[in-house]
Amino acid sequence: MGEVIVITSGKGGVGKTTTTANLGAALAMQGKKVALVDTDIGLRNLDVVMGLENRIVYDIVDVVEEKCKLRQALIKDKRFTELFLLPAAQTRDKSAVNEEQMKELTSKLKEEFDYILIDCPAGIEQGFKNAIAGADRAIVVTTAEISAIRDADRIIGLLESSEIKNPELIVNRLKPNMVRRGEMMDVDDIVDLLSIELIGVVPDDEYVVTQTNKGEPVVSNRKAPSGKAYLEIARRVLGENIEVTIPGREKGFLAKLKRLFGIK
Amino acid sequence: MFESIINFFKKIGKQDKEQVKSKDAAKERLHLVLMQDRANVSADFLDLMKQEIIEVIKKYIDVDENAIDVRLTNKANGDGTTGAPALYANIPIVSIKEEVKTGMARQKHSSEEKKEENKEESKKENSEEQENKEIKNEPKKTPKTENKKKENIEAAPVSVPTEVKQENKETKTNQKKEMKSEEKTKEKEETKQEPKKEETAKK
Repeated sequence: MGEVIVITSGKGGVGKTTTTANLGAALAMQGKKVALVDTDIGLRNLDVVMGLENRIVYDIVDVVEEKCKLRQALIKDKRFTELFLLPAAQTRDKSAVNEEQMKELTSKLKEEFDYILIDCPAGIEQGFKNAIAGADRAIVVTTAEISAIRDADRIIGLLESSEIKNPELIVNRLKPNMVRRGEMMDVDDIVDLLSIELIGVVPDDEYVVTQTNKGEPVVSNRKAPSGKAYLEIARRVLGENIEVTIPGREKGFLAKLKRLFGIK
Repeated sequence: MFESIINFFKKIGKQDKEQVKSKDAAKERLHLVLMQDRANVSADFLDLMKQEIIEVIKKYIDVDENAIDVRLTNKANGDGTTGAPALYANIPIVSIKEEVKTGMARQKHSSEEKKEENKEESKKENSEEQENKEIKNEPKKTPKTENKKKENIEAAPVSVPTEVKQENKETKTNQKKEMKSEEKTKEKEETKQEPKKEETAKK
């Protein structure tokens, strides 16, 4: 029996889709069978981030409306052993699917996959309700910006009033240099304000842009610091008890030296 | 040359100060915004509360209604960091009403006649009265209430639509604790009425 994890944020543009793609890829690299579900109907993007946009035949609405079988709509990512994508429909809207249908869909996926990651649309309307309907667990993504944190707080409130308890937090796009100068809120500040458990911190990284340009997840680039962060998050999702690495606070001589010369 | 070096260090110093501000400003603003979001309070909430506070205080003290300042702020800790959110109320007093003064005297008399429990109550009231008098000198910021508020906020960290009603109730109780004045008025009203009854009984 698999686990359904919804990746949500409230605010748009904080990195939900990137997180979904990379966490999924990282879990697949750990040998898990993973399905990614894009619930952002009308504004689908997980397909392009994954580089699978040319292989879409059926989408989530086709599955829900029983125009095709679930297996037909799932696109296999050939770069990984067991990674699949269920794309959103682009020509429909959020009302094309309801919460009951989502519950049914996720329970079907659970039978076959170890992890089902749901990419939630921005906002707190129907799309959000659909995305969380069948989820067992939630990961809230935020950046260190005031607007993202505020929306994250709202989302946490909504999650806690639903059946999903104890959402976990990813702080995305952290700029260690700005934090050091006191120009950006620290991870501790954010965790303090939102008071939920931190599952990972992803540094701001140009590799995310270049990898996404190519349609490749950043975890497959070994040089990328953000990729490392996602791999670490995947291990923690799997239940490993490892300390969260906070960018700019890395231990070790080399990291200190780099910091001294302002490389990171 | 020497000047330029000094300027360089001055610049660094200045930058540090400004940069600390940007982060702390974000934190402080978020603190307040989140508290309002979580309690699900509208902008009207403060106005409503302010009006009610004024109504209560007007019974005892002549106040300058236009000069009353009620707002939510962050309490500053001793070390300069921002602490828990606090209700700030600055209520300038014009004069204390005569009836109230005589009312207080009656209270003392009547409480002496009553049992020990009642004596204790009146002591509490007296201590509260002293607090009230302090308003004259300083803007009203009772440390006790701030502590209470902090506890309450920590106990109910996140607002949830289904719990909105409860939360609102909580905030209302917060208000009461906050100002204490509502409790006071109830107590005082009771004690006020009692002496009158005694008088009529004597007659």
